[in-house]
Amino acid sequence: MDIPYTTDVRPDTGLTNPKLGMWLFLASEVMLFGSFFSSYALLRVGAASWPDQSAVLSVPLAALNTAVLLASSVTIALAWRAARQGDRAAYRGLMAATIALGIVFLGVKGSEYADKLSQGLAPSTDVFLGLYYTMTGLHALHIAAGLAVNAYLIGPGARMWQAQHARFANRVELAALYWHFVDVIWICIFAVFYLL
Amino acid sequence: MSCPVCFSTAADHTVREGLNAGIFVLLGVTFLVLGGFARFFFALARRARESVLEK
Repeated sequence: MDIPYTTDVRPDTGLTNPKLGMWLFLASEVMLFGSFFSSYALLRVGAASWPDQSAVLSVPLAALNTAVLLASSVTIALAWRAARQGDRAAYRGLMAATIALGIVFLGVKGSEYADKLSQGLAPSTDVFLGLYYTMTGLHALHIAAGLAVNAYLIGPGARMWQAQHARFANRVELAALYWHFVDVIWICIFAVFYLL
Repeated sequence: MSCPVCFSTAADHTVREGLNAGIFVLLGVTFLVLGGFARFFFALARRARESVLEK
């Protein structure tokens, strides 16, 4: 028995069932990150003193990472378009570019962590660094999960390309939706931890 | 941090402000998510009404 409305839009919701599920998942993710941002506001405003964040962290590296993630959002959106149009070579190239940009992001973040830790700036140093490592680490985990999904869609998951092409293109769309969400969360983290 | 008995003393002013800021941020996020759900339910109701009118 086929699962209903995996490719066709449900008339009552105006969405496919997987897309509705993804939106519900993203709503729960918003609450998860929202609780962390709330903790940040509580601890920062309530603190007697707070370090100069941009002096502790590297703003140019974070700006580079922001550009990298924005570029990856463009490439995954184009990959989805290529998948819908049936252009397999373009899809593979654009999805590979998305994965490569995600890996670059994690690499830059890893080098930033290594640099801070070598200076003795650990999560236990102060409340600010505790929040920084926790929130950026949680975000990096989300990037890693997105990379795993994208790798699946370019590897074993792409076997669906021939047999169930519309369903496959929908999966790419959902992966892109998740990736855009992770991108938006990073922009919030960038603004809060590096610019404010 | 002090217990609720002397929570309103001047020394806890910044802590109180911090708690308020944390609460307002989480309220904002909650309203954002619940607003999204409310909009979705309104869209469902509108679609149902339109489908009845079409029939």
